[in-house]
Amino acid sequence: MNTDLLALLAIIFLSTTLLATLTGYVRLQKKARRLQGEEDAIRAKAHQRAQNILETAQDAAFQIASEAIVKSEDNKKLVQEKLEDVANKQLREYQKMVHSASSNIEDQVAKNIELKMDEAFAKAEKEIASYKSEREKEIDQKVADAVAKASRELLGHSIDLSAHTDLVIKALAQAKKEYGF
Amino acid sequence: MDSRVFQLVKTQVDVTALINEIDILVDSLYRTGEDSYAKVLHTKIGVESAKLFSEAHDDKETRKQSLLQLKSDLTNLVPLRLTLAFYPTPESVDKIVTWARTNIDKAVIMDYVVDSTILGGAIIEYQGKYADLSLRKKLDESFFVPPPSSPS
Repeated sequence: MNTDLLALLAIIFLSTTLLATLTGYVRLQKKARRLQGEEDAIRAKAHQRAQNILETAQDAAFQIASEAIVKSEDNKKLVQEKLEDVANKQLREYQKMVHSASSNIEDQVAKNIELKMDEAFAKAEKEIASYKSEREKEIDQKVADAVAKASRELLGHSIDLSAHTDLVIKALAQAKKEYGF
Repeated sequence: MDSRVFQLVKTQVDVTALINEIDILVDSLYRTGEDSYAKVLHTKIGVESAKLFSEAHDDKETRKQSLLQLKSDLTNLVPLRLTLAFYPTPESVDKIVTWARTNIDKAVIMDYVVDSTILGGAIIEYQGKYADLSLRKKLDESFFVPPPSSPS
């Protein structure tokens, strides 16, 4: 009897425990479903919000990009104009410099040519003078030689030793008188 | 200086020859035999020069001093350098030297070179002075035409 009672008591206890467990399970399942619904709602809300942010960002980006393109075009144009200005300015300065350099070079070349011509002229004059002097010396020497030769031939025969001696004494007398010997 | 010496030396060549003879005689003063003074005087000295040195002296030292004094006097003679157009004869030399000693200086001796291109007259150098009195110079001066002065 005791055994049956114990079995009965056990069955009752187990049934109660099972019931309590099932009840807890159902309760937990409901709670899980509710939480899942809340999560889905939050997800949907977050998705919507993200979508909104993304769209807003895209619009902003598009606007910025559009403005940037416009600005870029303007800047490009401005840069182009600046470059042209600078290039024109550089070109004018270059032309001016080339013109100045060309003038300087022309002046320098003219001066050099003038200097070279002066030098060449002076050199030619010197050479001519030297040549003239040499030729005059040659002519003088030839004349002197010719005169000396003619004189030797004429005087050599005409002056005897006595006359030579007299000429020497005459020279000595002249030296004493005129040169203070 | 003895007038006979002046008669003996009229040119630089004469002076050099006489100085050479004096050296020989001085060297022979203390020698004997073939190299004695008396022997050398007759064998190595010219006749005219020998007449100058043949006088007797009391002693060799006195004779030596006399010779050296003469050598010194000869060295101090004043050369009259002449460039001549001809080779002078002794007569010409005598005539020229006599005139020079009478009119310029008694101690003059003639030193000459010959250059026929001077034609005549003489180029004279004496005691640092110079005079070209040759015929060539006179002819040059006669024919010389100065170059035209260049414009400055």
